[in-house]
Amino acid sequence: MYQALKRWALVPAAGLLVSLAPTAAGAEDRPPPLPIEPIGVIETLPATYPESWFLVHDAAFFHMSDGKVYVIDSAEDTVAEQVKGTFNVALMGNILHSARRGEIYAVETFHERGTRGERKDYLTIWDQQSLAPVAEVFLPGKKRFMGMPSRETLLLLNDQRWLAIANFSPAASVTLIDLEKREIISQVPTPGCTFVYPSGDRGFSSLCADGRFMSTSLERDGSIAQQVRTDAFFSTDVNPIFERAAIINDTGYFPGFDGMVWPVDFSGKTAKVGEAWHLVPEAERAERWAPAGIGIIAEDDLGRFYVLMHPDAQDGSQNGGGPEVWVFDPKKQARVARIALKEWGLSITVSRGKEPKLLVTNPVNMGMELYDAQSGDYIKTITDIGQETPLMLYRAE
Amino acid sequence: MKFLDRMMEQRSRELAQRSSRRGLLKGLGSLLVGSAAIPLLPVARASAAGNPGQPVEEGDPSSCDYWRYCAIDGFLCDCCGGSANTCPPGTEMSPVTWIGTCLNPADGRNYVISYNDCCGKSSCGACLCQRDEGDRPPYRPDATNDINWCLGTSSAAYHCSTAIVVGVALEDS
Amino acid sequence: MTKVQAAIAALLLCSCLPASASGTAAENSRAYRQAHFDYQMNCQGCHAPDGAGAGSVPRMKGHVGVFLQSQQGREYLVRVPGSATSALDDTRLAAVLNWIVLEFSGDSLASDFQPYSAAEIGRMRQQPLNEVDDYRVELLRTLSDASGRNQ
Ligand code: HEC
Repeated sequence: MYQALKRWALVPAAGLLVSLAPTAAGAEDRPPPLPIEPIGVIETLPATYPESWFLVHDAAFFHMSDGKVYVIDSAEDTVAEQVKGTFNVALMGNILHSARRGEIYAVETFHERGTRGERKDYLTIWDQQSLAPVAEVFLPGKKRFMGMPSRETLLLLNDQRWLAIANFSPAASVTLIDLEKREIISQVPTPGCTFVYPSGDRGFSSLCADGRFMSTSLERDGSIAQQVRTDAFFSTDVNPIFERAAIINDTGYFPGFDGMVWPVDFSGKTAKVGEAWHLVPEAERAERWAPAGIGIIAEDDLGRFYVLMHPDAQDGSQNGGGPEVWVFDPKKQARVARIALKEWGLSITVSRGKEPKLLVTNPVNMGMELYDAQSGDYIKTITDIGQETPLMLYRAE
Repeated sequence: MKFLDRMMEQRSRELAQRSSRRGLLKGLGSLLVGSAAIPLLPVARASAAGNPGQPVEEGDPSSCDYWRYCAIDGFLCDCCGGSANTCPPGTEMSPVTWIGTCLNPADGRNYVISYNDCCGKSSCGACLCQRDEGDRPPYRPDATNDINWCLGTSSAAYHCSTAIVVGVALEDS
Repeated sequence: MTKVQAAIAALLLCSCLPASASGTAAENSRAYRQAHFDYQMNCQGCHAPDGAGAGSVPRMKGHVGVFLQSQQGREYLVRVPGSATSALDDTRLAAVLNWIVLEFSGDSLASDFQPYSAAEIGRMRQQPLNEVDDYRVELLRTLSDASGRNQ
């Protein structure tokens, strides 16, 4: 549409030239005519998305069956150049990008007649160059996890040959997909435990209602090798953690509602929970800073993680977002930067590479602010790309 | 279900006039005012003073501030053709849901609230609220509003949320 | 409080608060209300007010007593994740399960029901079930073979 608009925009300009030209220099001196344009050309995207690209998941909260992902280039300054393409993700779906496979996985739900008729869930595989759906895997059981957009419902495992999809119906389970054959391998029950975090080479862990992980390791054929419940390490009533984690070199960092962060070693078959440390420096604890938002946490390629923070935390403020993003060095267990946001933030992500950029959804006008993730400097606001509720942001892998 | 602002601002101007919108604009967190700060809005039920011996409940069921919405996250059915405890015509009430408690400031009791979603039509679009008292991430499904609770219904399309009083909470438990 | 409720309350008390086995009416009522409240807060969202369930949540109403015909079945009700991994402590979970059994069983319950004790719950919930569906089918098959009842 933008491309088309742009081309139309040329017409009046050309007309102007035509009407001016004769008076200026006579009909014979007109510039050569425009080349004839082919019909039916469709753009494609590069095999590797540049570091400045992001995937903006607009869950379309006001018309959810029409959710959408915008592929954008944050280095550009005009909407026409920022928007690279879009694809749909129906009814509060979730996505995961694999650069290695050149594919974007989307789990979505359809009813035969819009909001009515039989419900069918699909894994849709989008080719990252054509942004066209290249395959669909039907997901039986009407059970895929459906809720606020989440990075924790899809996981690549087994050297990216498999995809794990979290289900909640409300029985909890995981559907395993073979991405090479594009078919279901198995259904793994995870009773009482939700989400999929990495675990070893061929496994995943889930978070349980009683404050522990359940780690599932899988045989070559996708059947269960073992399922182990770790010791409980927090109380889901008293000091709950967020299900949202930054994952750096096989270690997950899970912030708590109370401002602590739990490191969890996911390198082995069974999740190993380490000692929690405080995100908030002692001198500032009286201000009651704590994480809050939807996409509250992200990691960069320099080994640091970022958390959206708000002061005066209280019961009920944990999803509201915040005015600052704090940057942590997990090795030092210390905050290394504090970025005061230009606008209130609701969800964050950080681009890959050595010069990371921080992208933040602001709930005030649903625009997105871009910051230099190292200096914290505000760079620009990206908005008016057609987005309505960009609740979850992803870096281009 | 949760979030945002200008949207709410635009789409529910009525609501905006009746409840404190500043809080929302400053990031939904500060919306979560204590019960003492809630202005007593139009009376939904006969007040105790008028009818001694009658149950009391005060407030506006189309406002996010309404006491029983203390952990609601989504569109208020009251603004969609239903009410605080009924679904709009032609929708389906989810039998599976989550449960919390809210304090009724009019009688000082905590009540058990069942947040059943109404399903089968697309988002209602009016009176979007986000309050999260006692809300937990979805690993505690009995206490989360982050899940689309249109489960066990023929359609998974989320339309709006109710807040049904299903019991009186026990004191000190 | 109805007669049934009073009976349940008495049972709840004697299983969970042994010190007041002969509890007063007020205590009975309190124990009953506590169990009902805990059911509402922790279980009712999925299991419905009357234990009817929906979707992937099995119907307990009129059925749940069947499991108590065997020790394995008795353990099963504790080891399902909804019970075992709930935020309730052993005493309160015992009370909720006793409440469920007595409120929802209908005539599926044999007359000699021994209420769950907190200590028993504490032991059984150590091993939450992982493959519940298969386990349940197997269990019901065994029970129906044993009793000739068709589940
Ligand atoms: C998130 C939804 C959910 C909640 C909350 C929940 N359950 Fe369940 N329950 C289930 C599901 C689903 C099953 C079927 C087995 C499975 O897949 O876990 C089940 C099965 C059961 C069963 C076995 C019934 C049968 O016929 O096999 C019992 C007993 C039970 N739950 C007790 C409880 C108790 C007690 C609580 C509260 C402390 C509770 N549940 C809370 C979802 C829930």
